[in-house]
Amino acid sequence: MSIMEIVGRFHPLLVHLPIGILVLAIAFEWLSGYQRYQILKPAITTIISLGAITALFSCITGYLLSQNGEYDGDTVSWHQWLGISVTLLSFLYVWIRSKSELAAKVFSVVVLVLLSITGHLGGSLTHGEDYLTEGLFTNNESMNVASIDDQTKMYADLVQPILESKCYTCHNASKQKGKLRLDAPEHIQKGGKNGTVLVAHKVDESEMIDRLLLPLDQDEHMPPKEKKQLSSVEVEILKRWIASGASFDQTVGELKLTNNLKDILQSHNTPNVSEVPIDDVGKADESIINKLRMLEVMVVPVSQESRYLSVNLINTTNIDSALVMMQELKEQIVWLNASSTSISDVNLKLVGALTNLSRLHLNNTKLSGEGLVSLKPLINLRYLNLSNTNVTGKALMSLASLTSLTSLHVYNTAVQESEIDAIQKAFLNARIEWKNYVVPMLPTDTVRVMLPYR
Amino acid sequence: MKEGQRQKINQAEYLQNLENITRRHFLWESASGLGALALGSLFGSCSPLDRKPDSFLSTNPLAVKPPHFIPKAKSVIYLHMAGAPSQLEMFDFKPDLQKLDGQDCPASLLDGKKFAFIRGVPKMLGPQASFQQYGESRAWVSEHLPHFSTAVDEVTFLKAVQTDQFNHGPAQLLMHTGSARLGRPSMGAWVTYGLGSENQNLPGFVVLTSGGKNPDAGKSVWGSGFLPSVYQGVQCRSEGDPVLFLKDPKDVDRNLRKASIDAINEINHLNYQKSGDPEILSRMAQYEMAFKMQISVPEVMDIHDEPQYIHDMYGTKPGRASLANNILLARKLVEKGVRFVQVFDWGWDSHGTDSDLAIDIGHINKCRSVDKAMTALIFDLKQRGLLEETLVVWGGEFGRTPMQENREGKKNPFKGRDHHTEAFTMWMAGGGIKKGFTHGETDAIGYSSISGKVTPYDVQATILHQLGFDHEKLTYQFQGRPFRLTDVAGKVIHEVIG
Repeated sequence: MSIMEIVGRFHPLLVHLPIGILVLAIAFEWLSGYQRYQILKPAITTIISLGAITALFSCITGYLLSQNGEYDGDTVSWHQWLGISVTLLSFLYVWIRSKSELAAKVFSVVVLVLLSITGHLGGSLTHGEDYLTEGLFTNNESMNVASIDDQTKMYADLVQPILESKCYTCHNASKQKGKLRLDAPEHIQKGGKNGTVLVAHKVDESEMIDRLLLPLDQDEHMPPKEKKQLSSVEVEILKRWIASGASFDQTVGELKLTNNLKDILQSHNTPNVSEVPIDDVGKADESIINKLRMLEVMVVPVSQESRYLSVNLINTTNIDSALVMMQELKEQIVWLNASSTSISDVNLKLVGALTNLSRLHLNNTKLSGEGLVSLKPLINLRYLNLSNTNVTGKALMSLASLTSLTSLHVYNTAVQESEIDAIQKAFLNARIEWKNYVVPMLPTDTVRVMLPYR
Repeated sequence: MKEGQRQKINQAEYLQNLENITRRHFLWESASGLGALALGSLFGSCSPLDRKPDSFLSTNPLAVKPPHFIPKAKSVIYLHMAGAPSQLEMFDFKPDLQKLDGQDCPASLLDGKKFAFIRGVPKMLGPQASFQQYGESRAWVSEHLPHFSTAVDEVTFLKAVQTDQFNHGPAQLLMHTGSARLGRPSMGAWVTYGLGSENQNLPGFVVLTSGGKNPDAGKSVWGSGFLPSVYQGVQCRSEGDPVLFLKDPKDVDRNLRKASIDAINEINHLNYQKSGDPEILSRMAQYEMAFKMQISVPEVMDIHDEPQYIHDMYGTKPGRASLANNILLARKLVEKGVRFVQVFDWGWDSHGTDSDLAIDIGHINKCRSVDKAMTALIFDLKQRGLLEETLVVWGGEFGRTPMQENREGKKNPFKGRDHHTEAFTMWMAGGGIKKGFTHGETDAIGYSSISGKVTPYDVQATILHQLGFDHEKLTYQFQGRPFRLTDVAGKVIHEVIG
């Protein structure tokens, strides 16, 4: 790096001096009109002079900085010429003051306006065009993975929004760090001064991903550590996009990514188990808890910080009484595990009254599903495990109004494969686990490698 | 008039007072205010959060207890390949190592390093397996794990685990107890101490071993150390009686047994009221549990009831002691509410000293013995809806060298690798861990890590975190100070948490 470049890099520091000093001068100019601030008057000319001199230095350093080629376009030239005008006008201001105070007052407004515009443009160059207002209009923080389907455009709907929120600030039309632009397909393909940023189908050889994955404290890490970082889901999306060929027009369906992609991305950002309501709840009645304990029902808060309860019925021999007693704790009970118990379809009526339930294990039981309709009031239910029961597809459809369900398990039940499509349509947000996974027998499974005969 | 005068005096006094409040006064006041604020937050971090559920304290040491925060995982299955599998023939694909095959190991890799058996200058040994990328996550898996290659999208790989112990015993102890020396409680013991047991008829912490031997570190890797002994792992056998010495003596029926246990416990309880020794409670709980386990353990440890397609899936044969049987049992135990299942399999120590310990013979057989079963475990948990709340961890106590072992400076009769501490692979699945993810990377020959390095402490901290614990706060007072699993180290590997 040449000495000139280093001097140029002082620009972001120096610009704050004329801004502060000139604003102070202008404030004094107007205040000194009042009787009690007249005392400020003699200082004004000195202050403006200082402001003008620092503005001059800002112009010089600014010019040197713009020469490194990372900045381009209209914004820079506007910023440059307005900066120069502010400097010249500041010197002019000193001269006008010596002539007429009234004229000076009017003139000060012109300087203030130009100064503000110049400063804003400078800010836009450093932080990105819409830095000031982005919080007002857009909210692209949480990507809605659940909305991914076959029609989702890999680049336009998934990749581009990430680049826009995390990369554009430094790699766009007006600012091109490393001579790289990421704001349009042709620029992405062209790469920057270190060559191409991505190699289709080869994540390992794509510099973009390399940089994202470097440790945060390394200089080559992108985005720079003081800037907002990509979430792991976002990195994952970029990786998958490149792995699938970095196409700019294909949809998720065409790339055959839908199911697995959704599944994997979901595991990267959703608190997939253990949902508990945000609102606090009253303390559970201890006498009821102790009574349940006598029945060998396991009752415990979901965590030390919470009053919500988790209940396991595996050791109790008296499910009917336990469920009746649990009604008194219906506000607090959020998780219920009745797996491997003798719970029956009749019992489900009382389970359905525990309306705060978010996780419910009914797996490994003799349920036929007849009573399943009683679970309809469980509108907060997210996880429902019915595997290893005799539940039918028809019984399951009676729960179709439970749209909060995200995880539904019907492996080894009376649910038929032909019914799965309809069930998936009824539980749109749910990942349905129903099939028997098979780990096939391979010849090598039973053959041992032996010592070669010598 | 008088009234007005008094007012004036009052006002003057008031002004006088104001004048007494100086700038110093102001600074002093603000400083002490800030100090009080800081002190408050300091105290806040010392005292435990106001424990709302005080009614949940119980004299039963295995009563279920809440974790620090809301957990992602409810149970853990830890598959430990004792002897240390070779990452270079399973997951860590290093084509560049092939190019160096047979050449002398460069001095830079040997200077200042100590190995268990390598002496002098060993030769490099290329990967003894071909690799391919699998799944959406494009993870590299060797030909010796054809089944597992179908499961990579469920798994997070830790490619750069580093330990500081190059002998089996200490390294296994470090992995499971957080200390290379004897005497610390094992991870399963800590978890049972923290969470209790969901199923009062089964132990909270079960250990299953296969491969013909216990791990080198002995039973201390599932011991309870200084924690009450009720938290130690219960070793169950998959052949014969699952738990030794559990059967009633001849001619003693169950009622008599129950009556005698009740009588003994009554006396024990009197004793406890006098002395307050927690070991008495442990003893009482163990009697109770042993009584319940007489029925429940043989039931859960019997895999005959499993349907044939499950046996086909795992490759299990009922009635035989095998790693596959143990892995299936682990699933059954977790399904019944057991917190922590540790599966040890001995025989992975592929030095190349005989054909069973050869990288290109015995090691392949070991891979085949675990491949189908561990793949089946992931898919079986998944289909049962248990994978999201069960954390599966797989690994050894260290890795194996990119160099071929030359014991005492002489060539070994078979291809083998020495113990290697600087980088090896582990994987985790389920329990809120990312799917299809790889954390950490090793250099071109797999000798040391270049990014994402983690230690056994970090793995332990992460496991505890998934169960809802802050590993720095799960402590036990012993010898005058609080102890914890991760000692003074450990950082949760947030990169792998979904």
